[in-house]
Order: sequence, then C-alpha cells, then structure tokens
Amino acid sequence: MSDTNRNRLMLVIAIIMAAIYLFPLYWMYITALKSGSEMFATPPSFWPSEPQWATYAFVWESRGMGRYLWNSLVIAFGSVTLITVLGVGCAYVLARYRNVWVDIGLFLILMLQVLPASLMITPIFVGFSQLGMLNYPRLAVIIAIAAKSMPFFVVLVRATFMAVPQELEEAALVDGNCWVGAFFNIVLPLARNGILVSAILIFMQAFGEFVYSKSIIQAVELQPASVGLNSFMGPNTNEWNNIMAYATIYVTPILAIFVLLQRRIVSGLTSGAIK
Amino acid sequence: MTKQIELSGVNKYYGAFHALKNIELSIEKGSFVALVGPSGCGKSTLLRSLAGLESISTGDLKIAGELMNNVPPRKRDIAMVFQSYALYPHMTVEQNLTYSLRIRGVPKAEAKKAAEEVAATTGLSQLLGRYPRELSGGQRQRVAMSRAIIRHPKAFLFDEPLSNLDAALRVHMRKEIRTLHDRLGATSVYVTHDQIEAMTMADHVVVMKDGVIEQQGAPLELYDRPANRFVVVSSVHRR
Repeated sequence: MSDTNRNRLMLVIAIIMAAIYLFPLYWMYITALKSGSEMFATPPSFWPSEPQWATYAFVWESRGMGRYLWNSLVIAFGSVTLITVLGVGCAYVLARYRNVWVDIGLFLILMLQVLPASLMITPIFVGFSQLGMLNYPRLAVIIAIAAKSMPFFVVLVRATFMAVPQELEEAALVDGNCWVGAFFNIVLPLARNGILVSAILIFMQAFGEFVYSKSIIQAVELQPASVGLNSFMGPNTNEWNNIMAYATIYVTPILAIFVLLQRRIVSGLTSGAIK
Repeated sequence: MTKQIELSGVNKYYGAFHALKNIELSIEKGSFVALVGPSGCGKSTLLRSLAGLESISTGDLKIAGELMNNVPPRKRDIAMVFQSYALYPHMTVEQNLTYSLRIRGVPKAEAKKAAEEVAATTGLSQLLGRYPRELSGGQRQRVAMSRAIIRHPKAFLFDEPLSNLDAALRVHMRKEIRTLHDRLGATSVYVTHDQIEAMTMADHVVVMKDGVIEQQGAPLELYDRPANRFVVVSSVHRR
C-alpha cells in the first residue's frame, strides 16, 4: 500500500471513530428538538421535521435550571480556586526538590488519583457528618472535589514548573529579589499557561461532578445541575426531549469553552514534553 | 590594594561528598580572576558560593570586608552572568536590564535612563523593546552582561559565559569582556574550563581539581613555574 492510500485509510478510520464517539452528542441535540411523537417513531428520524424550540424555555422554567446551574458554577469555581491556591505551591515544591520524601509524596499523590469517587464517598460522608460539615453541603462538596482532583492538577502543574529553568530563579535572586518575589515575578508568569489550562480542565470536571454532590447535598435548592438532571429521570421516564434539552443547556457552554480553547489546552498539556 | 573577596578555610559538603576542600583565596579590588579546571572540579560550586546560591559548610567568606557566610544573594551586591544567560523570557530587553533596579525601588524614569546608558555602551540601543527570543546568541550574551553592569555591583561573577557562542564570536567577546572590566574598574571572577580563555583574560588564574586549588598566580607564573603536572596540562594549550 502506498503512503497516500495508507493516509487515506487512516483518515477514514479516524472519521468513523469520531462519528461513533460523537453520535450520542448529536442524538442529544436532535432529540431535544423533536416532538413527542417523533421521538418514538420507528424507524427513528435523524433530523427533526419540526424543531420544537419551545422545549428549551419550558425546561428552563419548569425545572428551575437557573438555580441548578448557579450551584454548579459555585461548586466549580470554589473547587478550582481552592485547588489552584493549594496545588500551585505543592506542585512547585515537588518540581524543585528531589529527594526520597518528594518521591514518596508523588507516589501517594498518584495513588490518590487511582481511588474512584464512589469508593471515597463513604468515608468522606461519615467524616463530614461527624465534623458537622453536612450543614454546609456546597462547601463540603467543594472540599471533597478539591481532594479528589488535586493530584491531577499537581501532576500537570509540576511538569509546567519543571519546564521553567532554575537558573532564571537564581538570576532573580542575584538580581536582588527574595525567593518569594522570584516565584511571583519570574516563575509564576512563565508557568501561567500551564496553570490556566490545568485550572480549566479541573473546572470542567467539577462542573459535571455527580457522585459527591448527589451524596452530600440533600436540599434541592443547593444541588448542582448534574444532580438535577439525574432527578429528572425515573423508571417511567418518557419525556426524553425535555431531558435532552436540559442536557444541551448544561453541556453546551462547557463544550464551547473547550472548542474555543482547545489549541491552548493541547499545547499546554504537551508543554515541557519537548525541548 | 584592598581585598574585595576573601575566602579562608572554606569547605563545602554535599552529604558525604566533599566538593570544596579548604579553599584559601583572596581577590583584589579591580582584578580579573579566572577559575579553571575540568568539569566537576568545584569551580562552579565556588562561584555559586560567592553568589550565595550555595551555602558554605565551614570557613569564612568576606566581600568588601564584610562576613557574608549566611547573607542571602540579594544582600551581597554581586552580579552574575549565567552560562545560559538566564534572561527573563517574558520581559523585554529593557525590562530585563532594569529588573534589579525596579526591585530596589529606583524610580521608573531613572531606571529607563540607566538602561539606555548601558545599552549605548554595549550596542543594544536598537534592541531595548525586543524579547530575548527575538535576539541572536551574541545579542543575548550582551543583554546578560548589561544586566550585570547596570547596577555597579561589588563584583561580577561569570559562569562560562561564552560556551554557547561560536568560535569567532567567542574570541571577540573575550576581548570585549576584558575591555569592559578595565573600563568599569570592576572586580571579576570568571569560571571557565577553557585554558586559553583563562590565560588570556585573567590577571590571576586559579587552577582547581577535585575541590582543591592546585595552584594560583599570574598566568605567566603558572606557565613558567607550574607546581605540578596537572597545572602544566591545565595551563598549556592542549593539541
């Protein structure tokens, strides 16, 4: 097989894979626009004959989506802030010092990453309830998410810091700065991109977080959109168009952020890999 | 002549590794001293100890008569030119030059004027608005030098500053650094593994090996009366 044919075959395979992967998303968007009878038609239609735009307004109003999305935003911003403030310092230390304890720390951090949320929730729930944290459920969820996503952030940002040459800091020290100043003047601006990208990834994770929010937040008015979506569905659900409209409103902003920033995100993730 | 830098009985350990062994060295004000030796001989460690980037384990280090053992780099009033130049990539040439002045709270206008003056003497006037990535190797080298001289420090430390340049430029820059040194009346300590650089640039050459000073003296003195075979090899151009 010649090189061009090989490339074409690869391209076709890639397109098919992408189509399979993106099909649910496509299905979500069109189902949201279908009418009740069209939803259950056999064979299914792949393009809505009469788009029902009113579904969006109906779902937004009837489910009180504004409140759900607000809660999601509060939780996501809270987690990102907490993780960034704590994680940047941690990542910096792990990037600059090399000894046995740092290796052990790094190993433990990666171990934390392995444990699934559904396993962690029971001890977290018991602990939080004994501390009385369940009275502040959104704060409790923020702390739980921070604990879970911190390793991911630290590992990514550590790689960013390692790409900043130590000589630059030393130059700043000799130039008359203290090490705190050198960190804020020199290291932080140079690591800004990597930190920003990691923070965005964390934000998207936290915005869609479900397990902790579902378990910890009992009050409906404090629940995020992921839990709201779940409570929409029951054993006898048949209003799929409404559910899909809800899902559309929920994920489209995140998708838009990702598409807009994807170039930066990809370059941020691979920075430090070469050179 | 007054002593600008004095080291007496200086030792440095990294764990069990003895990196600097009983270093005795005094550097006169206005002199140009080269530290020469193979890699791993401790010359860079010695230079970094002068800068305060490494702490010394025992012994005394004095700069301009003041004991500096536990003084942080920022309070030592020395300037250093790094092998990689270590220019701040997110700052323009002018910001790179004035960084040390801005930290010390020098007014903006004054800092700008100082940058322009230094840039004029080092041929950087046209490049003040550029970023380091937009400069050639030789130009970056000049920025690193200018950043060191802008604040008139007590001493200049050079850590193999020419090793990233091509051969022709290196020869040219040797002369330029020496001229600059003479004009400023500065005290310079220059680390190199290149014997020619050491012999041609310095007033005083310090030959090091395995953390020990093998011999020190004027270039010709080392050349004519080497203390041992190692110094012979270090002070004669190897073919």
